[in-house]
Amino acid sequence: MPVKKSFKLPRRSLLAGLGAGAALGSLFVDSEVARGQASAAPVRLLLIPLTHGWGRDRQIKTFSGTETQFTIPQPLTGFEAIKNQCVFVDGLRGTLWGNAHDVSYSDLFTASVPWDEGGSAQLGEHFPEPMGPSIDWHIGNVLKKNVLRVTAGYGSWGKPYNPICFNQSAQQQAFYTTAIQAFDAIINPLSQSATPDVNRGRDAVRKSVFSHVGKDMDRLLKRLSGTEKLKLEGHVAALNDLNQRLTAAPSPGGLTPADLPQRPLDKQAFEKEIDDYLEMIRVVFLADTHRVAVFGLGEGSKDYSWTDSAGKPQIGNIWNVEGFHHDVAHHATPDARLAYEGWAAWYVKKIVSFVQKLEQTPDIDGRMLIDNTIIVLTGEVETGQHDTRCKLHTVIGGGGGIRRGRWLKLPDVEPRSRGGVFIGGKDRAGTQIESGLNYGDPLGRHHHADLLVTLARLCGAPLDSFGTDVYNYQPIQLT
Amino acid sequence: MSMLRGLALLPLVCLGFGCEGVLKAPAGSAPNDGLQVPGGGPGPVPNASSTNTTPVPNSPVAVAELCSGQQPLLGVQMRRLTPLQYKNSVEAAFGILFADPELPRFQDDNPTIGLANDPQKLRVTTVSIDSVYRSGQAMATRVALEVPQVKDCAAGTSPDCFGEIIEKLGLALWRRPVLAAEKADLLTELAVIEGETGTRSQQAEFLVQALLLSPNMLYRAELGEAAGNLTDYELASLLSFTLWDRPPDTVLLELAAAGSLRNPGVLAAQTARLAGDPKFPAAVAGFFWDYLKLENIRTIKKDAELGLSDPVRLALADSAQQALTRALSSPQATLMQVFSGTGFPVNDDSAPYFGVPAPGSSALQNQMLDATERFGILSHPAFLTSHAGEKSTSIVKRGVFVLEQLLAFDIPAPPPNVAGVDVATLPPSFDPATTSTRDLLLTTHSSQAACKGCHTIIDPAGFGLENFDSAGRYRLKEKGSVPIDASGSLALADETLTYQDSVEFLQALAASKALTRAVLESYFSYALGQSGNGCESNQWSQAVLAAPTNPGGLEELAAKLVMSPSFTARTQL
Repeated sequence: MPVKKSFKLPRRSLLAGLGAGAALGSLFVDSEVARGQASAAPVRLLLIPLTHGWGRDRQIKTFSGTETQFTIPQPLTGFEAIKNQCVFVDGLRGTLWGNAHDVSYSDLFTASVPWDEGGSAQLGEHFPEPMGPSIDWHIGNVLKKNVLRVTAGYGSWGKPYNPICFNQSAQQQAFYTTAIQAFDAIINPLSQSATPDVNRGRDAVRKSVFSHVGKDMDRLLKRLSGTEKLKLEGHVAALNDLNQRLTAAPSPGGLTPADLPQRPLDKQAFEKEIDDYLEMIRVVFLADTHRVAVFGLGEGSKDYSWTDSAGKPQIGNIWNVEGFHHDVAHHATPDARLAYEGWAAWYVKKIVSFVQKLEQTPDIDGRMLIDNTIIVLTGEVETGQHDTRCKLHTVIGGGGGIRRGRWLKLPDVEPRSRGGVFIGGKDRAGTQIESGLNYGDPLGRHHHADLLVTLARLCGAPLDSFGTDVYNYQPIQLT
Repeated sequence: MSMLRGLALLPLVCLGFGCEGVLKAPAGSAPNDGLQVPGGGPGPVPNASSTNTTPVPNSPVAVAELCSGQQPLLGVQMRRLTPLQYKNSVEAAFGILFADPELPRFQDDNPTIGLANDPQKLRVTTVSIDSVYRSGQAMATRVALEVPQVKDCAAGTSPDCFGEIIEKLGLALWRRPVLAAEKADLLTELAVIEGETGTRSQQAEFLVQALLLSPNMLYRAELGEAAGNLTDYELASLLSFTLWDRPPDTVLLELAAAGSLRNPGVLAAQTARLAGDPKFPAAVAGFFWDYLKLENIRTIKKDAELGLSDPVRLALADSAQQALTRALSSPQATLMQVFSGTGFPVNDDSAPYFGVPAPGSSALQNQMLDATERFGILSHPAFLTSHAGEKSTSIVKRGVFVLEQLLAFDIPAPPPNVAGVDVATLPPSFDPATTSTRDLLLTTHSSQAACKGCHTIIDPAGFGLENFDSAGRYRLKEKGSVPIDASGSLALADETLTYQDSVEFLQALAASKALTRAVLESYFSYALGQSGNGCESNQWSQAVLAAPTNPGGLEELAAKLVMSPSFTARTQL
C-alpha cells in the first residue's frame, strides 16, 4: 500500500495548518504535541510474536561474519532490504527449554513463568500462569498509555489468542481478534467529531451509566479478595479503558479522512487482515494514543499464497497439513523445513514492507517514525523444533537511540560444565531450583529478561530487572 | 504439574523426556476403590443410607472427615453468565425481543482441554467490554420503545414509575431485590440526567442500560453470609442456572423472598421440580456439548473434498444436540447414557456422514444405525469431525483428547529434538502409499525410544477411533485398499480396555470406571464452577456411583448434587 501523501508532510507543518484549537481537540489530544512538547518524539514499541518462531535454526543455517558485516540466513534473508534498521540479538534463552511450545507463551514477555508448571486455573491446561506482568503492560502502566493488542489467528488449544500479556496481578490481557473489531474500538473514536456531544442528555446517560456501574463494582469489590477480586478488577479496568476511549474520543480535527485507514471488512482475507492491523498500529503510534502495541501473528488461513524455500507455490495454512507440525517440530525433515522457511519468509516480507512505510512516515520531531520506533520479532520458540535455548530476537528501528545494522552474537553456556552459571529457575514459592540438564545444545547466557529490561529503559519505563530475578544477568546493550 | 488436575495428578510416570508405565489412578482414589459401574467393578461400597461406620459422604461433617486436612467447602466466587445464560436472562426479563446478533459477544475461550464455563475463564475484558456496552445500549433503547411498562413510563409524567421499573426489572435481571442504597443511587443518576436536559425516554434507557451492565446482572454471586451459607437468592440462582441454565423463576424467587429455600425439604422439593422438567436434560446436554467440544463442528477447518459445507455442519451440530438431549431425556437416563445407543437424528445433508440413505427430508429424523458401526455420541460424526485433522484422522490428536479431556489424565509434552527416521533403515518394501496411517505412525516415530513411553499410551486411544475418517464416516479401508486396524489395548489406572474395532473400543470406554469417574467429576466442576481440591467432588462422585441404580438417574444425580455441602455453603474469606 503506498504511503498517503499527507504523511509525507512534516508533522509540524501539518499541525501548523490545523490551528491550535483544532490540534487540542484533535488526533493529538493528550499527546506531547497537544501539550506543546513536540520537540521530542516518544518512543513506540511494537512486539510481534510469530507462532512457531521466525524460523532461524542455528543448527541448520545461521548468521556468519562480524557484528557489522554479516550475512542473514534463511528464512530471514528478506531483511537484507532493511538490514540497516535491524539488530539481530542472537542467543537469548527462555525459561523452559526443551519442548517449550505451549508453556512458553506466558514466558515470552514476562520472564516469570514458574519452574515446573504445565498449566494453570486461569489459563487452562498446557499454559502456566506467570508470576508478574508482561513488559508491554509495565511500559503502558508507567507511561499511562493504553496498550493495543491485536492478533491475526495467534491462538491455540481453543484459545482465541495465546496468553502472552498480563497485568501486575498476572491476569491475562485481551486481544482484538479481528481487524474490524480493533478498528471499531480504536480507530473509530479518532474519527468522531471533535465537537463535544451536543446532546447533553445522551452524554449524561453515558456518564451516569459508568457512574452507577462503578458504584455497583465498588460495593462488590469490598466483599471480595483473591482471584475473585482480580476478576472484577479486570472488569473495572475494561470499563475504564472503554470510558477513556469514549470520552477522550479525539478526532482528527482538520486532518482529512484519507489520513485514517478505511474500515476493514468482516471476514476478509488473511493478508488484508495483517495489512490493516499494521496500518492501524502506524496510525495510533502517530496519533500517540498508544505507545505500545503487541501483534500476535498466527499460522495463516486458507486464503493466502506463499512460496516455500524451494520455490514451490503454496496456498493456505500448511500447519493444518497432517504431520507437518510433527515433521517440523520433532524431525526437521528436509521438505518440511523448506516449507517452514517459505512460510516464515512470507511474514518477513510483511514486516519489511511495514518498516519501509515507517521509513517514509514523518514523526513529530521531524525524523521518520521508524527512527522513534522499536519493533521486536520473537516467538514462543525459536523454530518449529520447539526449542528456546538460544532464541533470536530481531530488533528493528532506532527508538531510544538504538545502533542499527548489527548482529549481536551473545555468549552461550555449555550445559555440562556451566562455568559457574546458575541454570534453572524458581518455583511459585520462590524456591530456586537447579536444572538437571547436563546434555544437549548450548544455552544462552542471557535470558530474554535482559532484553525486556533494555526495552523498558529505552521506552522511558526504567527497570533494574524484570521477571524472575535469577533470569536477569545483564541488560542487552542496544544503544 | 498442572494445577487443574486436582483429581488426576501425576497419572504418568515420567522419566527424563519419556513416560513409562500405565496411567495411574487419580489422587484420592484407591487402586481398588470399589466403584461399581456398568461392565463390572471390584464391588459395591456402602452407600449413603446403609448402617456402617463409614461417614456419610454427603453430610458436611462427613466430608470434613473424609477430606481430612483439606478444606471441605469450595470457595466464594463470582461467575459471569455464559452467553446462553445471558440470553435466557434477557428473555426472562423482556421476552423474546432480541436476536442473537444483538446480544453481547463475550469472546470466551473454548479450551480444547477443560470446560468453557470455568468461572476463571469467563471474564469481561478490555476487548469484550465494547460489545457488552454497545449491546446494552442498543437493548436499552429498544426496551424503552417497545416494552410496555418502560415505554409507558417514558411517555408519562409519573414520578414513581421509574422506581417501580427499578424494582421489577432489578429483580428480574439481578435475580434479587435491588437494595435501598442501590435504588437511591439509580434515582440520583436519574435526577442528574434530568438536570442535563435529558428526556424521560433517556432516563428510561439509562435505567435499563445500568441494570444490564451492572456486575449484579453479569455475574452470579456465590458469596454467602458470614456463617458460610449462600443466601436464599444466591441459592435460587445456583439451583436454577445449574439445572435449567436460566435464571430463577417466580416460584424460586418467592421462596427466596420468604427465606424458606434453604429449608432442606423445600430445597429437595424444588430440586425435584426442576429436575423433572425437560429443561434439565437440555441443560445437561449443554454440559456434554462443552465437555466433548462439539462446538468445534461449526468452525474446524476441513479439506474441501470432505464436503463439510455450512448446511452439513449445521445438520451435524443439530443432530448431536438432539441426540444428547434425547438420550438424557429417556426414562432412567444416567449421565453415561450418551455414550451408548445407535439411534441418531439424520437428514439429507448429514446422511452421507452416517453412511445411510438420505431420508428425503431436510428435517432431522431419528434412525437406528448399524450397531456394528456406531455406538454412542463418540461415534457421532459431529464429535469425530471435531477431533480429527483437516484431512486425516490424526490418531495422536484423537488419542490426546480421549486421555486428557475425556479421561482427565495428564500427558507430558513431547520431547525436543527427536531425530528423524533414517529412511535407509526402513525395509525396501516400505511404501507410505500402501501403509496404513497407524503403521506409518508406529514406524516413523512411535517406535523411537524417546517417543515410545508416551505414544504407547496415547496411540491406542486414537487407534480405537480409526474406523471413522476425519469426517466421521465409517470405514474398513483407507488409501483405497489398505485395511483399517482399530484394535488396541489401552492401559488405564486400574483397568485395561481391549478391543478389536472402534465399536468395541467405544463400548469398553463407556463401561470403564475411568470414563464414569471423569464424567461425574467434570459435571460436578461444570455445575459448581470449580473442582476445589477435588476432595468434595470425589466424594460426590463416589456417592453417585454407589447409588442403588448405578451411577444413578439424572433426578437422583441432581438431588445428590444439591445435597453436597458446597451447593449451599462456601468457605468464607
